[in-house]
This record gives sequence, structure tokens and C-alpha cells, in this order.
Amino acid sequence: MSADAVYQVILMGCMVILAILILVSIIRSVKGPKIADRIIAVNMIGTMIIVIIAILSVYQAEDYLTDVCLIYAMVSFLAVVVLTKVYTGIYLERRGIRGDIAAIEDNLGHQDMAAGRKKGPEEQTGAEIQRRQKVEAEEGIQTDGKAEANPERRKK
Amino acid sequence: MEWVRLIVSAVFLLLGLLVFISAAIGVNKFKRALNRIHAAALGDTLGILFMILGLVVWKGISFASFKLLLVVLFFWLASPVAGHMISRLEVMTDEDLGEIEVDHHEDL
Repeated sequence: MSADAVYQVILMGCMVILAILILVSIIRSVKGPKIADRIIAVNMIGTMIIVIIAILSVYQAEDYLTDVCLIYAMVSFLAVVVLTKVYTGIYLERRGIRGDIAAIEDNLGHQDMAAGRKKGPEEQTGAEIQRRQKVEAEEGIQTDGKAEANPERRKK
Repeated sequence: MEWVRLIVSAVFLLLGLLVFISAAIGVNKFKRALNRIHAAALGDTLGILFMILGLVVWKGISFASFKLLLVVLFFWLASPVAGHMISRLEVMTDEDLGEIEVDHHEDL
């Protein structure tokens, strides 16, 4: 038995195991409670498919499959970027928030409320208010100086 | 000589498979998305490096193996960016995230 034949068997075994791992990842992408879990699982499936294509290019001795590999890597990365941007935009639009920092502070307000230590605008330190005013001035939002992250404003 | 190359290549492929298996187990075992990013990034960087190094050892130096290494280079550049964007999505939109610490920089 030549080394070439043995190596073909090894490559086939690798591809079969990777296919099983893709099925395991599909379970997570179906179950995942949050959209971030699904994107993570889809990204991992893309990585495994790229490895399978690379193995296939050696298995069949077809060099052009490496180009398919490169293009698949780029498309998979683009898919992750687009999906995260789209879902961030959907969330911000639903909340009526503009800008990333405001969104993070909005979520921090949620965490504070969940922890039971609600922090009103009067308790905020001077640096926080200054930073928020700077952010609002950059984005051109006119507010009355109250916190955008104030949890009360969202309950309409 | 051919058998030595086969054994080295098979060891690399086996290590890559182990990394991928641990990544798949971690993605299914961890409870939060931020922990799952950690497990998934393992396969994105170390797993793909081992698998493609195994294939390159078998193929020898050629233009096709150079392109395979280019895939690894691209992944090492793109995967941290993708992980960062997913984690930012999670931090922004998950409302029962729990206790996390966020560093505020004035010149953000």
C-alpha cells in the first residue's frame, strides 16, 4: 500500500469528522437563543467548510479549489459583518436610539435596573454627563440634558 | 521520506481536528454568547492553521500551497474583527447580559 493511498484515507476521515462537526454546529445555530449565538455558529460552519474545501483540493489534486477557499473566506467574513450591522440597526431602530455609545449606556441602564440599584440622572458624576453631552453634540441630537440611557423614557 | 511527510502531515491534521472538536463542544456547552465566541475563535485561528499546515506539508512548496497559507493569513486578519463585531452586537442588544465591565475612554 503506497503512502498516497494511505493519505487519501486519512483525508477522507478528516472530511467525514468535519462534516459531523458541522452537524453539531447546526444544532447550536438552530437552538441558539440569541441572534449572536446563531451568527457565531454560522461563522464556525463557514470555517469548517473552508477547511473541507482545502482538504478536497488536495484529495482531488485540483489546485483551483484553493481559489474557491479564498473567495469563500471573504464571503463568510462579509456575511458576518453585514449580519451584525443589520441586527444592530434593527435593534437601535426599535429602541429609537442613535449611535453606539448611547446604545451601550442604554444597556448598562438595563443592567443597573436588573441589579436593583437604579441610578437616576441626579446621581451621575460630572464626567459622565460631560461625555454624554459631547456625544450628543457630535450627533446633533437636541436633548434637555437628561440621560438618553434613562430607563424611564423607554417605557411608553 | 514520503512516509515521514505523511506522518508529520497526519499529526498536524489530527491536532487540527482536536481543536475543531473542542470548538464544537465549547459552542454547545457554554451558556452565554460571549463565552461561545471564545470557543468559536479557537477553531478560526488555531484549527485552520493546523489543518492547512498539514496539507502544505504533504503538498510541498508550490503556488497552490502558497494560496492555502494565504487563506490562513486572511483568516487571522478577519476572524478577530468578526468576533469583535459579534461581541459588540451582543453587548449592545442583549438586555439580560448580567454583570459586565465596560471601559469608557474619553476619546472613543
